Amino acid sequence: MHIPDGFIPITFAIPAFLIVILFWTIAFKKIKITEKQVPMMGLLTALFFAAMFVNIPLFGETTAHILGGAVIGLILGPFAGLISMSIILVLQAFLFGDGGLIALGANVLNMGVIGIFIPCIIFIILNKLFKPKMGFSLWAIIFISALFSDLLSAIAAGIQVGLSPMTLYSLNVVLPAMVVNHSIIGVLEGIVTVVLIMTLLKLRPDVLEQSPILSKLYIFKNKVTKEETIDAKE
Amino acid sequence: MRVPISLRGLLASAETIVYIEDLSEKKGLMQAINPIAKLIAIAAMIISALFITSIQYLLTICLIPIIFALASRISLKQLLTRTAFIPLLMATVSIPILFLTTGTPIWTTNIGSMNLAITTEGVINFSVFISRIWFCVATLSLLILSTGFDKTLKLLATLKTPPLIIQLFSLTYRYFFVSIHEAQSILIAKEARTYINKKTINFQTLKNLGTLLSSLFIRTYERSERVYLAMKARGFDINNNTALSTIPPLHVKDVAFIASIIIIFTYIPLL
Repeated sequence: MHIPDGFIPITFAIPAFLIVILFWTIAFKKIKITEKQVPMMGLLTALFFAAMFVNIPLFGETTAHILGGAVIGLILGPFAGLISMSIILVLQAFLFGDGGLIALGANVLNMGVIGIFIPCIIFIILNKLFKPKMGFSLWAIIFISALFSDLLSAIAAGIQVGLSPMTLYSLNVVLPAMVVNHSIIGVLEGIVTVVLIMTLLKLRPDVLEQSPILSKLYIFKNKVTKEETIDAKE
Repeated sequence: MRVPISLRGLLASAETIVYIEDLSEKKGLMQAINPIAKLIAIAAMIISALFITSIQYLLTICLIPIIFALASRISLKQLLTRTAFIPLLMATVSIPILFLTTGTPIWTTNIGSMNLAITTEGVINFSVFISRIWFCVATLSLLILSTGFDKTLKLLATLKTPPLIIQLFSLTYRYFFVSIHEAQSILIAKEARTYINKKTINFQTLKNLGTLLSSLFIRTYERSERVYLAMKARGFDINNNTALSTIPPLHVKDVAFIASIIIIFTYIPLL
C-alpha cells in the first residue's frame, strides 16, 4: 500500500501534501495532549510500528502484516491517531525506505487520513445505530470498521496509482487488483482488530474507557449511568 | 530451532536501524554534508527524475546514487541490497507490459493459439518505469543511510517542527526497541509452549496475533506510567528543544552541493 517515489507525478503529490497539511493543522488544534499523554502516545506509536513487523504467514511462503489504522484510530481517536500514523509512515519511509519522500503526502492521506478517520466514522455511526453490548454486534462493528479502513485506503492508493501517467497500468487494472488483494488483507486485519479490542475490553476496560472513540460504547455509557445511580442513591 | 517468521521480521527491523546508525557515523561525502542541504538536494533529484522520460538519461542519472554511495563509504552491495526489493517487486508486477504494449516486435512466440510479442516500446516503457523507481529509492536511501536519527531530529527542530512531534519521534524511536524486546519475549514464550508445524494462515493464527498485540498493548500501557514518572524525575519538559536545535548553519560546501545538484537536475529534464 505504501506508494514509493516515482509512482505518482508532482501534480498528485502536492495536492495530497496540501490536504494532509490541512488535516495536520486541524488535528493539532483538536487534540489536547497533556505532558502525561506524550510518553503514552510515543509508546503506542512505537508499539504499532513494531507490530507492523510481526508478519503472519499467508498462502505459500508469502506473509502479511497488519496496517493498524483501525486499531490506532479506535484507541487513540482520529486526531491523535493521524499524528501517530504520520510518525509511523515517516519512520517507515526514512528508516526502511517503505514509501517515499515526495509520495509521503499521498501515503499519509491514504493510510493516515482515510485509514484512520474512516473506521472512526463507521464505528461512531454503527455504534449509535445498533448500541452494541459485548457480543456479536460489537465484533461486527469493529470488524466492519477495520475492513473498510483497509479497503478504502487501498482504493485511494489504487486510484492515485491508476490515474498516474507514470505507472504502466491503467485505473481499470490497478483498482480491481487493489480491491481484491486488500479485501483479503482487510478480513485478516478485521479479525486481528476484533481479537485485540475484545481482549482489551475483557482485561483492561479502563484503558479503552479513556479512548475518545471506544468510550462512546454503550457498555461504558451504561456503566457510568449505573455508577451515577449508585452515587445518587448513597 | 528455526526462528519463527514473525521474530525474524522483528529482529531484522531492529538490525536495520542499528546498521543505519553505524553507516551514518562513517566519514564520507554524504555524511559531511549538512542534513538540510542533503534533504533539499535529494528532494530536487527525486522531483527531477519524475520529469525525465528518456531511458538514456535515466540510466545515466542512476550512476549518481552509486557514485555518492561509494564516496560515502557505503558499499555497492549494501546499497543494492537495500534498494533492490521495491524495483524487483515492481518489475515482476510489470512484466505483462512488455507484451501488452503495441509497437515494433523484437521477440515473438506462440503459446497454443496465442501469439505473444515483446515490443521495443514495451521494453522502453518497462525500463523507464523501473529505472526511475530504482533511482528514487536509491536516492532516498542515501539520505537515510548517511543521516543518523539524532541528526534527523535536529533537522526537524531546525525546520520548526512542533516540539510535540519531535518528542513523539524521539520517544517512538526509543520505545521501538522496548516494544521489540517485549514482543520478542512474548513470541519466544509462545513458541516454547506451542508446536505448530504448518505455516499456513487460519483463524487461530489471527487470534494468536490479536492476543499477542493486546498483551503487548497492556504491557506497553503499564510501562508508560513508569516511563512518565522516570522522565519527570529527570527534568522532562515537552517544550524544551534546546538540546536538539543545534544543527550547524550551511557552509560554502553545502551551498555548492545544493547549487550543483539543482543546476544538473534542472538541466537534464530539459534535454
